[in-house]
Amino acid sequence: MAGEADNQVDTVSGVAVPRSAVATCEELVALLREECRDLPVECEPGDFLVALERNATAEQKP
Amino acid sequence: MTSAILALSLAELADAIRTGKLSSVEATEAVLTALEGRGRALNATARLWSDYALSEAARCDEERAHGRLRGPLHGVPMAHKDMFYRQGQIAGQGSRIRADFQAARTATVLTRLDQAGAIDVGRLNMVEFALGVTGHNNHTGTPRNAHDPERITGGSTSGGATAVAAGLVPATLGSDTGGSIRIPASFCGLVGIKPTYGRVSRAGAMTLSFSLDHVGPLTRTSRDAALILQAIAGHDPDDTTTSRLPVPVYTAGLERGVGGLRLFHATSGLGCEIDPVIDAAVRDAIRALAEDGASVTEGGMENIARITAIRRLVLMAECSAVHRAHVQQRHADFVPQTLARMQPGFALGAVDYLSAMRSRARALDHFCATVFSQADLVVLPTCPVQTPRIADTDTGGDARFVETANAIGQLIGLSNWLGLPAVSVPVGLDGNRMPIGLQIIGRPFAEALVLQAAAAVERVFGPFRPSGFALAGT
Repeated sequence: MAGEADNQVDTVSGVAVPRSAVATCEELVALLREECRDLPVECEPGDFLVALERNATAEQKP
Repeated sequence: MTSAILALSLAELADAIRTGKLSSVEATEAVLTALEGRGRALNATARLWSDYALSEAARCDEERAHGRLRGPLHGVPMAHKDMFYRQGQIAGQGSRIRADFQAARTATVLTRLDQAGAIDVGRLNMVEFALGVTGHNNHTGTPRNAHDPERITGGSTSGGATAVAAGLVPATLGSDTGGSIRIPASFCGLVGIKPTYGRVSRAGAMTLSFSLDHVGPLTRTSRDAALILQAIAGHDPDDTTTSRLPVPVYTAGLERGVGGLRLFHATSGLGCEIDPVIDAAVRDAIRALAEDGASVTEGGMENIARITAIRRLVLMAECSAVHRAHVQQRHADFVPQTLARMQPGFALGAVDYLSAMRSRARALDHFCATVFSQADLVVLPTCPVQTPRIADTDTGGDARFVETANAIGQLIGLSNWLGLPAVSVPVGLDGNRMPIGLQIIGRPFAEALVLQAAAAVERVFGPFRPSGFALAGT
């Protein structure tokens, strides 16, 4: 159990997690940052719901 | 008689009750007996509301006798995943932490099924807090697959999937944040549809990841899925993410076939190897759709690894936020698999989380522009691996478990992140006689088209009948 505790890492959220969990997060974040590196300034999370309706086919729109 | 009732599809059962060939009380008694018997043996049943259900069934029969029908599902008994709230009832969410949680409201989807005439007979087991794709749950016992009780059902709608596959209930509601409708549908030989994000209200359903959660049905046929979706779809003022786009008649096009439709068979860039047996079954199904008049092109998917990574991050961050207090105060009450999948989310910073959310609309626009400009539907396997055995995947929350879970869900997350409608429909059996699912993905709000193609697949492979193993002894 001591080894388990030694392997815990504090996180930004205030919850300690295993070092391997942080490594997983970092690995995924690297891919995220690659995807977002040229994201336009104008993007915001709420755009997604608008995009769903924009990309519906004509038959699905009123 | 009981077996004959349980073998009926949802549409057949609704028709039998509507026309008086069968009473709602008879149907409800059959379902309750099955859930109490085989349902417990399969670890599918969480709790039953027998008195309430039978009294509602009796009222339905009386109303029918006076010429009144509540709706298209009048008197049809159903049971649902233990995360759909009914006011005053327990919704334990597969957990020890919320085992006694009493819901203060009824989920919108349940209210809508009530209005359609369905009878809610109880709750079915699930993965703890719906976070997991294998179905394992140390608290409730891991539900067993109706096709082979030694194998997993898939998750997180584990009890619901095996109950429908076994013929214990005609249909059930599931939630799909990263495959929890489609994966168990695939492993249990069912039709499971994850609708477009915003098509079906999530209000009153347990939150796992609010940006990715979707509610939808698991059924034995596409027609049954269409009937349930019809009842639950549409704008809900209690869920601000729901769309005001009109809801089409989902059963209208089920017989149209796929003539003239353009299918894109995603064969590369998937980030995983497809098991050869699954690949062969999926190719057979697609060939059959081509013979039905669809045109098929094969090609690669771009960015799927990045999209899958982003979806995982957002899922882990949102469910970590939801459960932070539980993790801090009741760490030991989680099953190890849940913690293992959640923990990376605690390490994600706000800027990266918000960047992910800001990128979502662009990703959807790009996908629709590149893929749906050339095709009406995307087709690919639901799961790239054959249904594992429970024992082989019961490895706690170690790295091997996470790897297995990620492999099972590798082809699923795309449509959660992009909010696209996607159905899994059975297309045959693997070498262990376990079902294989074909996944069909459409444009936003193209549920009708997705179900139309699923119905065409069904006509090739024949109607589903419940597994013989599970029916024995009901």
